[in-house]
Order: sequence, then structure tokens, then C-alpha cells
Amino acid sequence: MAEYDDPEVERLVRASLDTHAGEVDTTVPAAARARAAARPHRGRWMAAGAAVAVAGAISAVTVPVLVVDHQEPTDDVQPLTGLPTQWRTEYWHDISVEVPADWGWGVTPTRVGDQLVRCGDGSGAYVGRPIATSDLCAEATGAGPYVWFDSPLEPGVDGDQETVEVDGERVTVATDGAALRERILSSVKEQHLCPAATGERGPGLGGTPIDGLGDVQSFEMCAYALAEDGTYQLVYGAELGERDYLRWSRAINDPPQSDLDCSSAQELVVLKGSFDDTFGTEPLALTWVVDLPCGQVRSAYGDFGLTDEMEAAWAGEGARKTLSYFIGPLG
Amino acid sequence: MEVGATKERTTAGDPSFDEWVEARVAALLRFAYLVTGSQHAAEDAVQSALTRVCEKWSRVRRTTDPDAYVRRMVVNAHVSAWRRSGRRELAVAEVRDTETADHAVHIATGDAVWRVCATLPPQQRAAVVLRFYEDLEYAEIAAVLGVAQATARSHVHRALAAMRSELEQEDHDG
Repeated sequence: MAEYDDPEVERLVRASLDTHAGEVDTTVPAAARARAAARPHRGRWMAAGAAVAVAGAISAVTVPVLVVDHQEPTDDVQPLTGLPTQWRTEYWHDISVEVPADWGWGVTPTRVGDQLVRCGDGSGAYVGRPIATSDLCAEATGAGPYVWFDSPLEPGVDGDQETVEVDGERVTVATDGAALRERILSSVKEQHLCPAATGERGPGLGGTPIDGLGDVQSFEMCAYALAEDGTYQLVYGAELGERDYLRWSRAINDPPQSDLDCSSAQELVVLKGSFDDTFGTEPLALTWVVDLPCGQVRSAYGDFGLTDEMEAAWAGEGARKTLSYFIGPLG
Repeated sequence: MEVGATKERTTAGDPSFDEWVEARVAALLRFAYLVTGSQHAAEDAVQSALTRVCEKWSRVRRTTDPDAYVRRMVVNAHVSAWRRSGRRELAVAEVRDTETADHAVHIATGDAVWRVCATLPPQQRAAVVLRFYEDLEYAEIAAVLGVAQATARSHVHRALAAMRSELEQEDHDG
């Protein structure tokens, strides 16, 4: 029987792969098909041009607007009467958008042929993300109101619905009133709450500030999901409050141990707290990374198990309707 | 009212999507075929990856190596399909007819390697292709697969062990 040492096996593997690589038909028009399937990317579209676009809505035509990389804050938008007074900010990848605080959370449709299909709820006023909350998929109908992150529509105006592209991200807003639509569109901008992507293990956990941890200044949650390209992309974020931090702090005071191997997370939640430094002037930061499917929390102080009390500190209704960990198996 | 026509600009040494894809699509299809073991799956994976790259070309070319990006997407698509399939074998290696008897032994050995490839977990198989077809270093393989370098080494080591075992068994069976 022949002996196969490592170099010989490697040689045979190289020869075999070379041989079989020659079998593939490389004349297929993969590039042309990809270009045809790609959403047209006409550069960046500025949501701040919403006033122009709303004017375009009257004639229901697509209105390209000026290209600007980073949209300025929307403080200069004129006050509009009859609009909701309570708003919240929703985050997705690089961007954020403000929506009325009483809107719910739902599913952005995907394009299947000529149809828009949604696998999950799309009723009521909602902010949609490209997720599935049900195995039952149906043609997406309904006039809104809604905001769709990662919209399947091309930029432009179609009746009460307008799609813009900011920082490469496409957002559709549909309302039954132009003023509300303008207000929402004008808030679409590059977000700075959370990094748009993170690595497999989340961000670095930093050092361990033992002394001088003063009052909490801010407490934020950034949720990431494993994307097709293997990166972890921001799918949800929220600014939490001091009360939420105190709840979190109590919950992790005596945590359960965890020795789980969490090497293949599907979703990560990064919690970041900023604190006064009682001995200095620069704020101190603490970071926790929650591996949701695994139920483990990583911190500079060590790893521990996730409990319901911990989840309750940061998982509001939006997170529970967005993250597959909470949505659970589809049915 | 169009106030700003836009066109993706490129600089010297910074190829457009069309230039890049024209130069690389054949190699990417070969890579995808070796990873998936199927012409159809290779086409699907490459087309899907190229679609994403086309949409995000300005960002991809700025922030990463497009080849590595596509390879990673191809591998991830195959891993996902493998998981969805309940980890069944996704592709059966096709044994092509050989025209000359002189190469019979070489082809048979090659096919033993290819048969083992078809049974490897997809990430392990991808590691083998990246190492012995693309000639990447372990650090590069780890980056494409999104794993630690030690894991990439382990994938290759295990795959080679499986191949050695298959080759020796084949010899033993005569």
C-alpha cells in the first residue's frame, strides 16, 4: 500500500483542484446577470431634498436630487403644524430616521419578480426591516404609513410613497400626508449612535476601570445580525436611560456563570455605558457584548450567563420585534 | 428637476466594477465551483455575490479587497445552504470520462481527492480550496472564512487527514 506523506497529499490535492477547476463553464454571463439584478446605484440621494421631492409628488414623477455624502442635521426644517409631538429614532446600518413614537415595528417586503412579498406583519403604522417574522409570505399591500429600511424600491416618488438613498442605504417612506412624509424624510441621515458593523466578537471590551466610576452619562444598545457576507451589521439601536442602566447593573450584580462556547453568534447586542470619572475629567466607558443565541455576556470583568432580568434592561418592544432571538422559530 | 447627475468616478489603479469583474469573473467561478462542487451552485453564488458588490462597489473597493469579499460571500452562501439542507451533501462530484489510459491512475487519485472534498463540511472544503488552489496564507484564509488562523489551519489539517485516509483505503481496496 502506497504511503502518502503531507507533501504528496498536498500535491495530489493541488492537481485534483486544478483539474476540476477546468471543468467549470466560465463563459456564463454571471457579470451581466449581476449587473442586471443589482439595484441601480445612481450615486447618493439626499433626503434633505425632500421639499423638492414632495413637490415632485404632485406630478408623481421620479425626482433625482443633489448628491451629498453626509446629510446635515435637520434642525433647520421649518416647524410643521399637525404633526406628532413625540418622536423616536430608528437605526439601521449607517443611517437613522425619526418616526412618530407610536409607530410599531414590522417587515420590509422583498421583491420577488414583479411582486413585493412580505413574510410577516405589515399592518398599522410601522418601521420595517428586511426580516421575516412568519413562514407565511404574501404580497405586500397597504398604503402605509410606514418606513422601510433596505427598501426594494428605486429612489423616487410614487404617489404617497417616496424612496431616498442616503449613504448607500435605501429608505422608503409612505404616509397619507405630505407634511409628515417630509418630516420623516428630512430626518434620514448618517447615524452616529452605533458603529454600522462589528466583528464576530463585537467591539473590544476595553480596560477595567475599578476606581472612579461615577454617575452614568449614557447607556446605549446596538444590535447586530450576521449578514450574508459574514460581517455583523447593525439592525437595531437605542439610546437607553439611567433607569435602564441601573436595572442592568442590578441584574448583573450576581450573574450566573457561563462556560459556553459562543463561537458562531447569529446576533450580538453591544451595550455601552459612559460614566463620570470621579478622579478625572474624561468619561469612563464600559462595554458588554451579549451573544443572544448563546445566552452569554462578555465583559472586561469576565463572561457570565444572560438572564431575563438582564434582557429586560435593554430589550424594549422594538428589539423584541426585530431580533430573531426574540421572534423565535418562524411559524 | 435633476440638479446633480452622478457617475461613479475611478482613479488610476482603481478599477471600475466592470473592469474588475471582467478580469476576475472566470477565476471567481472556478473558485465557487471548487467550493460548491456544482456548476449551478457556483453560478448562483457568484452572481449573488457580484450583485451585492455591484450595488456597493464604491464602498467595497474603498474598504476591502473585492476578491476576498466575493470569496467570503461565496463560502458563506454555501455554508448557509449546507445548514439549510440539514447538512446533507449538497453536491455529488461528477466523474468525467477520461480519454487516455495513460492518465488513468492520476485521474483516479484526483477523483479520490475530489470525492473527499464533496464530503467535507463546507468551511473545511473552502479552506482547502483557498490553501491549495488559491495559494493563500493561513492568515488570509482566516480572514476570508471569518475564523481564527488556528481554525483555518485545523480545517486544512483535518481535510488532508481525511484525504490521506481515503487514498490509503483506495490503495488497500485495490
